[in-house]
Amino acid sequence: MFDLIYAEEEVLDHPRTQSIRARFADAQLVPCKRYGEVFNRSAQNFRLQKQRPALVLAHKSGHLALPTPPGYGIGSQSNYYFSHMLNCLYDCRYCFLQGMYRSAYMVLFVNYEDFQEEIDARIATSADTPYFFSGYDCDSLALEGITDFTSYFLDFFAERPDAFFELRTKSIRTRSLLQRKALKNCVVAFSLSPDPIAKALEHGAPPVARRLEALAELAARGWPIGLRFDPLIYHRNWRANYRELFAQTFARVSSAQLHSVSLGQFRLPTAMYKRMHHLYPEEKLFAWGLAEREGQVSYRSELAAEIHAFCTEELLQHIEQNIFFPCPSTTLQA
Amino acid sequence: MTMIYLHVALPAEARPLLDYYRLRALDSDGPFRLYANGEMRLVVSGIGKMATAAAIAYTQAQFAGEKGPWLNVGIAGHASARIATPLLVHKAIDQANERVYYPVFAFTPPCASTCIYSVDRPTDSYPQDAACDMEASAFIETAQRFVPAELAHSLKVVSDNPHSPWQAINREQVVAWIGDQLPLVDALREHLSSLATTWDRQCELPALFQQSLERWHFSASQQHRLQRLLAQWQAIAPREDPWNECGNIQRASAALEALEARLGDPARAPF
Repeated sequence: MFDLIYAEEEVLDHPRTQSIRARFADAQLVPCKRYGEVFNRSAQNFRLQKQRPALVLAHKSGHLALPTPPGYGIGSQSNYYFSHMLNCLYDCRYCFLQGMYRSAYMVLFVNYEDFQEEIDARIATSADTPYFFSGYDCDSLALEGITDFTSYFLDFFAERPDAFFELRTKSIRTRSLLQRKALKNCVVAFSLSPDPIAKALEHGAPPVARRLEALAELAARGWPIGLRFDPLIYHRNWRANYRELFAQTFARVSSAQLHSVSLGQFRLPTAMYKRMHHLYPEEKLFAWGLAEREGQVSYRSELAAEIHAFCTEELLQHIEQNIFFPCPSTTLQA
Repeated sequence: MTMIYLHVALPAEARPLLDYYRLRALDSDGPFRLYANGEMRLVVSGIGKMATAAAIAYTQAQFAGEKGPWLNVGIAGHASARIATPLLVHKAIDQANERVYYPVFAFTPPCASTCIYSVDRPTDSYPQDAACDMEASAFIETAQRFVPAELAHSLKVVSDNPHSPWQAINREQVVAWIGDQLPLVDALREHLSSLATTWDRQCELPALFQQSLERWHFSASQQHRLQRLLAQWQAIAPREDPWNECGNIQRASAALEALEARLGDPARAPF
């Protein structure tokens, strides 16, 4: 899986580093002083690197759990995200990570304990029930077999029932969850797109049908489920395809098993969009129906409003309003 | 066809490559010896970091319109590896200033790899578990100014170690060591060439860009917008002329607006 593993000298002796090295005994270990020496250098090309990404093991210090942008949340005012990894196993063409970093290497911060310390500090100062989102800069579950991330953090959140933890994923690697008793304060949130969009744009990710199987199994075991229809992608048969996706999804999971459902627009900061378009000039997603507005590139207002209104109406036929969280977006304003 | 650039320090390192790829001498009056065939250039820099940097810059200037990946092929000492062992460089350290450079492997390396120290003078003191030479750090630093880090690599063949000192190396040995690694060089050439095809696509101007400039007068900022819109059009409707409904348009701004409008036509929605 990895031909090279870069590791900061500081973490070479860390037990998680040792364990990963043992797992990839054939990979060449390349020590470095700071992960920034090998990750996100100006001469690097994300698309080329994505063909064979290396793993980088590093120590994260400072800014370990950060507040989410205002308005983003699923029912609380105290929302934080944290990233134990940068970059993802999958290659979803709409993903902002392609424009965020020049490097497709996967960086794993092995000092989980420090993340937990900062999460505790955030819990202590939160005005209401705090939510902690993982899977913002990576997929929370996709590399579970290597990172043991969920096993470690589920134990942590099991002892903090007043704080919520969201795993955001397209992965079907749910064994670490199924092997234990469901946690009522852990939301397993699946990102879902209509099948033609998943096939065209979510390279390397499990098929939607498999994701639905995985979420149904978790729901049956009592895990609170999140549904994330984000980003909404305008395409030829979008009405029929989204309607079908919602029907397939709600045939698998009942409203009572759901913690939250959210919708998100396809939107990117302009500079990120330009980098992504430069990387994939032939990509149709970056070519059709877009407009730039207030430093963001997204679908033209009328298209964004149309798809948002349709999906909202369709979803509210399946769920109650109180678990519906459309992401705020300037793209919907005329 | 993507051009591939080879760099060597010594004529003896060049010899097997010149013969194998049938490269012919060019530009005999220039400061560096250059060789070429239809898809490859080779420059012989002479020994050292300064010569290496200058040779790469000179070659790029000579062939400014023909971008392509760079591969350094040469000999190196090593603390423990056996003579004639091929090693790709995964980390190069300029011993003079301790700057570190990392080539990026966007393919599975076809042989083992090593850290290398690039020194200013030949040395009998071998760094632990690493190679040493006099060019690699400068090669990587300079080549990465011209191509993405994924497209600049250095292949070293071990020529000396504590049991077989560098003073004993002769020309025939160098020719033989490099000659033995030609299949490896060829494998690297293929990997780099394949990656470069993707890179070329990223750098290409969209079709009809030049013709559009001849048809209307675009300001510099309009040219950027034109380039983006034409690339988008090419993605959506590669076989269709973007201007086929713009016959009477006189001004560049109107042409851009017309093209932008066509790029939101629901009938052309993708997927």
